[in-house]
Amino acid sequence: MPPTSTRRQNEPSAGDARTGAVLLELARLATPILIGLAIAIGIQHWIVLPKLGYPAEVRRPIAMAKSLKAGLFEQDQSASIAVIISNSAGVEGVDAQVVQQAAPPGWQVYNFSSNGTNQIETRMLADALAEAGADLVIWLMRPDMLETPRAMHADVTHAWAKGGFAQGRDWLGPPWVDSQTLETLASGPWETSVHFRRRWLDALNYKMRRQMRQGIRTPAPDDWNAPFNLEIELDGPRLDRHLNEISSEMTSAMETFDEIGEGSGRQFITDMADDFAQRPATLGIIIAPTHPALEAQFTPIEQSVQAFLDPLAHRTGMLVGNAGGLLEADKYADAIHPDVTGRETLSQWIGQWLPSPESLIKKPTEGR
Amino acid sequence: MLFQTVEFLILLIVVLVAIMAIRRRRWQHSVLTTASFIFYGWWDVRFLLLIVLSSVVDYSAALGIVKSRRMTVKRRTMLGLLLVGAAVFFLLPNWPEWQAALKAGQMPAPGTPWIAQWSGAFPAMGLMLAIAILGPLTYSLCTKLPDQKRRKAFLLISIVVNLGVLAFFKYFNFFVDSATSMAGSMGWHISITALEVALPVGISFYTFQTMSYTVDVYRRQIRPEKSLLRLALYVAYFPQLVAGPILRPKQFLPSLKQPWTLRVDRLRSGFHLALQGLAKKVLIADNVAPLVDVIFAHPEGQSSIVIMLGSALFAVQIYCDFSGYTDIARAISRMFGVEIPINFNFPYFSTSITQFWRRWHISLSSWLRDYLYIPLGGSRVSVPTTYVNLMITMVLGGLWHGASWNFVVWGAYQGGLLAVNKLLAELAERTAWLKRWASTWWGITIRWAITTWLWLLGWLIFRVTDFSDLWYCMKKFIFFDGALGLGAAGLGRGDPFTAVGAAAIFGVLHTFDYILLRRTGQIYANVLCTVPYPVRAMVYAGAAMAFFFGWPSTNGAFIYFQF
Repeated sequence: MPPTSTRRQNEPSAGDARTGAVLLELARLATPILIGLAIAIGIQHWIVLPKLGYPAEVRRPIAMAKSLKAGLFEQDQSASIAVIISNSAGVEGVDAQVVQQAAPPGWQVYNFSSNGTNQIETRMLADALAEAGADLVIWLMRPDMLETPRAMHADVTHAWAKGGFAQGRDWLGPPWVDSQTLETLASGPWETSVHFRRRWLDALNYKMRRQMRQGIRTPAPDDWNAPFNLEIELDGPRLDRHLNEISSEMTSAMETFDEIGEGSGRQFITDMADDFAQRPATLGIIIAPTHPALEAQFTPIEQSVQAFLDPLAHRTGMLVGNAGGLLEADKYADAIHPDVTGRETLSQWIGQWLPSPESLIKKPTEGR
Repeated sequence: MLFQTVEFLILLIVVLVAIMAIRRRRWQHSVLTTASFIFYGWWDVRFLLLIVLSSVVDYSAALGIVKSRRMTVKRRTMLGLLLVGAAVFFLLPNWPEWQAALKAGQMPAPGTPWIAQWSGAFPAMGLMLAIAILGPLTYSLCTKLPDQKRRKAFLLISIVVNLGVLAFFKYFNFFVDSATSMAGSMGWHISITALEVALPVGISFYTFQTMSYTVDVYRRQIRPEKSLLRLALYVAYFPQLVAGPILRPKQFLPSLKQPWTLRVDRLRSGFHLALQGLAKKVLIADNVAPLVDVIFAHPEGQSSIVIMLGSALFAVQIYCDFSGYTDIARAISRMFGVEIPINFNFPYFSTSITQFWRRWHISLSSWLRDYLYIPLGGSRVSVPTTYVNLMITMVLGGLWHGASWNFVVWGAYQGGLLAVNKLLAELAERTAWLKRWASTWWGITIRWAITTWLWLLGWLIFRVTDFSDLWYCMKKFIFFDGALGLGAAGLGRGDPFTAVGAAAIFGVLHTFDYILLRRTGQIYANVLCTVPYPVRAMVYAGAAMAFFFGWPSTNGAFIYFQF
């Protein structure tokens, strides 16, 4: 018999079928796996994430929370605060300084738009802004936001959780968000670290994407003025492809567009407007511009949105504007986002649309 | 239930403990069959009835073929009652809503109805009742037929029921849509209502598996199984139920003659194979998939290089997805003590299309050969008929993958390639210099390159279901447009670094694995069994870290589940 080390002798023999030997083997297989996982979590939490930070898409909500906590709106007590919130429509389409210049005197305007925000995120942000002292929260809304609220992307859910936006929101829960999203919105730092375990890959992809695409800028996450990304303009077949994508996205959004009652997009906006009616801050909704090539599809939809919003505004004191047909085709960077001239035009329009701060109906509970 | 989920891990642990704790065969089979039913019912419990139906029909048909005395009137009645009971259990409760709530970790909302609310429940119940009543009667009638006719009648019943179920669930709407549009193009207006039925997961796999049982009994290659429980386990055996390999009765049923035991060597080797399969699936296939999806979502306007990249990445994705599933299936089964045959043998290193089909999805290729190509006459008939047989086999093999015309075209394409390959092989046999050239290193390299180009083109047909998109992709793939930049491709959303990186890592590791196999007859997973424990432990810990940092945030379903 060949000599064997003590270690080798303690190993279960290959064909061993005794329960003890099998359990020992299972333990020997599982233990290094668990140790490996523990090391990986540690590396992620203490090295990777602190070094790389959060992905670009989720830095903005975290920066929003930080700025609000630092008292951003308290810097100038003499001005009234108007904050524009939106998804990429507002990121690309609004320059807060231009809005302010075109607006009646007395406004301090901020742009808190963030790419990809859905209805739930918009309302969480609107609530937080109102609580931080905004006098007017303006939602630059694409017409598809009347569909059933979409599920939140897991990454940004963690970002909203980290920013504390979900705290104290009684309306958060079914039917608007499922139990898993609710859990994520209440998650702690370790869960967030584990969630962003692919951050290293994300960073490499981002780098490669930047090399493959020209004309994309990365604004500071706390740019509350003009946080736009696009510096190029699509044309030809690429623009056609993007137009087709937007058109089919709208077609799919239309499936739940006319729904009413519990869980519907219309109910969501009604609840939000009712809630703001009780707050010192005023809510405004502006229908975002649509590319002229999509006019045939979008104009009836915009009319329908307007018809839904007008009576709601009448009842709750909400402000409503329609910038649907505002921009000509040459003022778009692609099928949906304004370019630099489109941003200028839309921002001026919003500024001119703004009422004077004094004309806003004051509520007895108001006070900042 | 997906392999890469926590619920599956729990199920696996329970089964492993059960095999370790239970020594009696019958109880082991009961646990395994129950686990298999839970595994399958996790998607939609109603479709379990199809597995019960297949098992009962094939069990009865096989006993009918040999005119077994086991099938007494009392037993036939019991089987009929079993079907009725299963139909009541699976069809009548309001499973869809209950399942959805339980999977979401919630209790069903108050007031959720208990009784079936879906439209097909009562017609399906009626059909099952009819089968349960007519089945025993048909059995009695068939047993009175003369020997040869009786054998054929029972075989026919099995084939009709199995293919009937498959045709109804998988192909009915396809044929209705095709017939309607064909009639429309001829100026006729016909209106047939398409059915709103979901495709039962893995139906093509277990239908072929269960059919091979009755055919083998008919051919006197095996004896019919006396226990319905054992046959049900063969049909529903969960490691390979939904995406193969398609087992033959001879490969599985003999293992049920003795109790299964867990053994250290099989656990270890199975664990290594499972790690390999899981890595292929979640670290490679699922990381490559997003870029493939972006490329083929709107291929029109993409350059040749992007289409070629898409095809190559899809080749990696589908191989890692499917062979990863097979590895895990084989690994789990090996842990239980049952060896499942390989389904892939490095197909991308093939130097001819014939070789490719001997190495790709081996269990399906050999099934089609044994149960379709050879019964059609195979190559023992005239040369033109041989080619026709080949074409029929491959077109039906293509259609097996899915109810879509692109799979028919893909099958015909593969059939055409095999026919040309056969012609060339015969030509090479008769031409001395060609035969010599084919075995030189550069002959092998050129053959490999051509074969690779051909199956990459084939994957385009498989992946791109829209014919105008497919036409565009094929033109770009065949006629290179000279554009080399990726800048205008809009691939950013597909995480190109992850996808290309994962595919490159796979390419290198897979090539070394192939070289290792050629030199030593072993693959990584086996070699790992022979190294000292500290080294293995480091590999396990490294694998855990790789899974942690590379596992995508959502678990992608296996591609072949849809078939």
